Amino acid sequence: MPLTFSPLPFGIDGFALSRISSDIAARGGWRIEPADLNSYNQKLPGFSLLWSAVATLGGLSPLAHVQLVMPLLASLAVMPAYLFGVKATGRRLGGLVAGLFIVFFGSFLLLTSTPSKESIGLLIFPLAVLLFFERGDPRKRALSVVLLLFLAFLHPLTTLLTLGMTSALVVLAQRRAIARGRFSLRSFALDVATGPALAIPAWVYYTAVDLPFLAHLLAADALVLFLGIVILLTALIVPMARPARLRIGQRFVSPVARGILVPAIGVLVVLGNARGGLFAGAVGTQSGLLQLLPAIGVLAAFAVVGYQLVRRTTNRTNDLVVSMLVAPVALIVFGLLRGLDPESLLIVYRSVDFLDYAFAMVIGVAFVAAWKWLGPWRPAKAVLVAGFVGALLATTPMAWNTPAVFGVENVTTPQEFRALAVLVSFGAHNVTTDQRLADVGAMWFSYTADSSLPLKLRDNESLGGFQYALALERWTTVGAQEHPAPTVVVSAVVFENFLAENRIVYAAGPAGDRIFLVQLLSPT
Amino acid sequence: MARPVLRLATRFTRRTRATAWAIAFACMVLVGAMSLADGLADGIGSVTNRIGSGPAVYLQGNELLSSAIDSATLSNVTGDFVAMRAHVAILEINGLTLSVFVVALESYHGGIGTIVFPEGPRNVSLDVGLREQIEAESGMPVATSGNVSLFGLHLTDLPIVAPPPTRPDLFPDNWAYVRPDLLIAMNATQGGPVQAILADAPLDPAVLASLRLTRLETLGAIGFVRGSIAEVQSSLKLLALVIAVVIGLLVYAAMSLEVHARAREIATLRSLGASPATVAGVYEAQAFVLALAGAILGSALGIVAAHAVVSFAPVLGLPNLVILSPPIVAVGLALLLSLVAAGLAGLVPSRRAAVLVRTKGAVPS
Amino acid sequence: MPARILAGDAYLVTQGSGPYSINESLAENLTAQPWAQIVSAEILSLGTVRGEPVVVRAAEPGTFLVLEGGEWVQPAMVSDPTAYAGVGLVRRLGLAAGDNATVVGSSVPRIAFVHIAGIYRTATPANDELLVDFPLGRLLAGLGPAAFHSIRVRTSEPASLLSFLRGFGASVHVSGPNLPRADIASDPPTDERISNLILRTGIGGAPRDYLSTAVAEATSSVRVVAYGIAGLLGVLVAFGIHAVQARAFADRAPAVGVLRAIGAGNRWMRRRLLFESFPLALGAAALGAGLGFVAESWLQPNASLVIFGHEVLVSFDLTTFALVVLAVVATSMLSGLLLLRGAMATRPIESIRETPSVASPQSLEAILRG
Repeated sequence: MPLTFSPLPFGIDGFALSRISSDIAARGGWRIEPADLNSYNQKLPGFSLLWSAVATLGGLSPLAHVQLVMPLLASLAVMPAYLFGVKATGRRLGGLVAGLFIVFFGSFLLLTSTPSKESIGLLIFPLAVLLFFERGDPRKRALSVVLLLFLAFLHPLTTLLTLGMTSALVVLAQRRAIARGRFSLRSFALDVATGPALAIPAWVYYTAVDLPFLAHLLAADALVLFLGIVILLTALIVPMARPARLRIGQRFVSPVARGILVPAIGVLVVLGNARGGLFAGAVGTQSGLLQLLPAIGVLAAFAVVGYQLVRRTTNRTNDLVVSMLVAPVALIVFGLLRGLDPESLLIVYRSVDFLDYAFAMVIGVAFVAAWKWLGPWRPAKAVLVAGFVGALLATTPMAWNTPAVFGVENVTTPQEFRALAVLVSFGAHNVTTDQRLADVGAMWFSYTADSSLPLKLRDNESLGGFQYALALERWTTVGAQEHPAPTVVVSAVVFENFLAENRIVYAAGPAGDRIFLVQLLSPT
Repeated sequence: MARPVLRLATRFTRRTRATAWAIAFACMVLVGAMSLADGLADGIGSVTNRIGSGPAVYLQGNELLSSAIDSATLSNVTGDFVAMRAHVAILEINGLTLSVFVVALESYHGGIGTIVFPEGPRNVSLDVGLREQIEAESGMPVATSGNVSLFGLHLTDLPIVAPPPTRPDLFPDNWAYVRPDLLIAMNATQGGPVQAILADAPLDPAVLASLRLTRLETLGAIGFVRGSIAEVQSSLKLLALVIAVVIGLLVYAAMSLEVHARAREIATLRSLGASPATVAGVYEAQAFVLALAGAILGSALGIVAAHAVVSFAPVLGLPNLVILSPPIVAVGLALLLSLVAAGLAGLVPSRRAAVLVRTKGAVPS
Repeated sequence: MPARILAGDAYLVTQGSGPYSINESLAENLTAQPWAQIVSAEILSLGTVRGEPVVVRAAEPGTFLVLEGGEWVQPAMVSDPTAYAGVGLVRRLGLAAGDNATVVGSSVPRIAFVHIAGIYRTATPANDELLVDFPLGRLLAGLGPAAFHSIRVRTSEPASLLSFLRGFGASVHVSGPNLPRADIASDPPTDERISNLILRTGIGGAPRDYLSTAVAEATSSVRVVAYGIAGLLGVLVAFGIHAVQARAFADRAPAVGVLRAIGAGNRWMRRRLLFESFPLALGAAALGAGLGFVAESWLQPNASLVIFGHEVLVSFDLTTFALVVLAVVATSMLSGLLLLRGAMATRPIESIRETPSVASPQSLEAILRG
């Protein structure tokens, strides 16, 4: 779908990763240059190294062809979901449903359509968790260690969450062992050493390269909060090593069970952010996302039912479900409690998609249970299928209509890219534009530009000190992106006056959506 | 102690979990309350430090007019500063009798003081605002001489001269300026000491300590906020102390109940051959384990609750400057309180029960 | 600053984002309006006196006392007074009429001396303030000549006030009893949460009016901490109530089972529970809350609580008392209903057993395969 909008990477991260891949291919080696505007992504070379190797072998362009590779990643992500579904239900139908969820759920689809470090992370981390879960086989344990070590070079958030999931698996397994009187210190030490303790090499590497992400998490106050949340959630999941006690006569599925709390809190956060902007200085929930809530509600209902079935029965995936839920929940709670600022919003929305595999499992369980319960009643089964698939498809705007759903534009048109190239070609200095174009310029062209032009135009502030400006006509309609702050809409009159008072050096694009490269003649 | 007996004594039943949760909630309140109280002080402190303050003004005590710094010690103060003497006086001029504040300034550089104005030894320089007040009330231009009553002395025909050539923004414009010598000559005991030291940069803390000087915050909003928070802090600390005592009692009660309910188990253990000391030891250990688990859980709850309060308060219309930091003291206090209270709680009843069983002859020794 | 200190029960007019409007001209014109009962132009300075935080208010003394419902304890003794002190402040700092004191600037560094010429008394928080004249107030606040911080207006016609201000062309914010904040010829105040982020982190430069913002947020911080501690204590109290009731209910669970076995319906059980426990809960809550007020009153003379320069006075507030009782009763009722719900969820025969029998967990695969 993104290719129908533009052949260029969907989302700005793709430009940075493509640039680094291109540099690796050109130099023949990987290097971290602290002064480089892409130094953060250089410190996490997993994606870039892989893509550079593939592009070199295949004779592909790192920038022009990266978007073509994303469908392959998306299709590969279905495999772990299918495995989880089959494991949970013992039936291929469960695997199919879990796979369908991963393919079509809008939020996950967005990530697998966007060239980013997380795209590969979302493929690798479930495999690492599954292999660790079956660590009884030393080969699987060894492979999980390899994957966990690789994740550290790929994406710190994925690494943190995966280590959290493995820690939860260790807690559950050891709790079960203690209850059965089979606790072994050696076994515990081995689990810790091949699981949670792999945080140490990751920490050493991140400290060595001075990764900013770590400094925020390891700040004293943040670390204490995170430890507090970990302790509480550990106490919460310890009893989950066994199935929940079901009194005689009590149903498997109850509408007022505690499982409904998590989706309810999620809905509250989404609605709360819509009304007053829960996160200070950040964009609020867009109306497009609110329109998707009913579809998400249908899927959440499946998940709640499936979760209760998993918890109240003996099965092979209780530990997987609990561990894959608790780690992202811990980070989301941390994001909400550390202070409701733009960085918190980042932590929350980036952690949500790591719940998707667990959701896929429990949704698979619920669907198969419903399928069985409906028995030979085919019309009802058809409604079940239609409802499920319909709800899934209804969430796809999250992937292809991000401006309406998230207030974020992910498409970079060839005209915008060309305008940036023109700017770079004549070595313009002191350029001002919006956040998105400034970031693309920085990530691909290594070009520094100011990103406050829309704010200055809106507030009628002086543009003294700048020589050139890159302005988009759509700022007067859909607005200019200043992520994570809300979109800024510039008055059409102000925009026209701005163009009239300065010299247009370059213009491109269709009417109503033109891009202007403007030479500033005098301070506004 | 036989392994099965140890397992029996240390198993977590529904009741022991409830006891641990009771201890946890109690510790949650203590850690949460102390976290918030400390966060308030830290947050306000960091913001006021960052905002900064005005020129450094030092005095003895908390009231400038009552301050009395020995002028002989000023030569020991390093750096550049101004020594200020200030007193209330009565000025008779233009047929008016006015209560005015008479100030004498002496600039110190390298330990040596110099007096810039007024030039004459008996000159009285009236500032602009005071001159305007005199002219407005008397309807006449300011006379060239006047009388000043100060320290019980009445000086007449003092030359009234022009306003000072420069005046720091720190001062108002309605003071009367004289030379320090005049004040000293009038009364060495009252006129000699200096009321305040004014410096552009903070003075050496060692000097401040030796002269027993305190800083007067001239940017009042900062001083106001700091002083207010200090008042609140003392109340909060008292509250935390009360909470700590209550928590100690709560933990003691919970553990006492727990051990009391185990009386039958104690009898069973004794009948299996455990000595009173062993039984008491086992239940002491369980008390400590429960208290430790409860305290850790409660500390985590308190930390999370405090962050939740601070994080969500702005959404409810209360943007605040509470900046939380790791509550090491609070957690330590919660742990200590819980362990001590649980230890005491476990000690008495279990020893008594163990002894009672033996004396009842239930178990041959 | 808390609205109670800034405005009392009058309408408060403060500066908006436009040209400076809170000045003598506006004050005089407001005073001339027939619907304005009392108009008090004021300048608020926050500072310290003898090391204690004090609010220094520049206002016309007579108007101020009428607005605050105050009276003179010791009127001015000299013809040229510079300051009056409230009785609360006098008691707190050990001041007396005739004393001299040093005051400091509020938002600009200043030193000034004042002569305490008289003492007043009010029943409001203004009892803890220092009243000075306008020249001194402007000096301490760094305001220009003829400028004020705010104008308080007592009127029974707020609509007329708003209409007048719009016609006058002033750029102001207006707030007051039963009046949502009105921004006249002014942008709304800066998003407090953005200013808060800047102040907390120090990143982003100083927000507009950073000092007043910092002071406002400092007062909010005290409220947050107070509410937070109250909330935590509330959770502990709720847990304690539930624990005590659970212990008591545990002995009566078999009775619940027997009653249900002989035909008692769920609704009857709930009504019975509420009927039996409500009077006890109400009595206990009233007794506890009453004891709390008594203890507070007993402590009051010796341990006064001063917050932001104002003494918190103990008064028996029926609303607060009722809210506390209501909260405790509601917690008790909710706890009882939860316990009862748990008991009613078991079959009667199970409730008579010492330990409830649980079903052995079934295999999920078996359930899904059939």
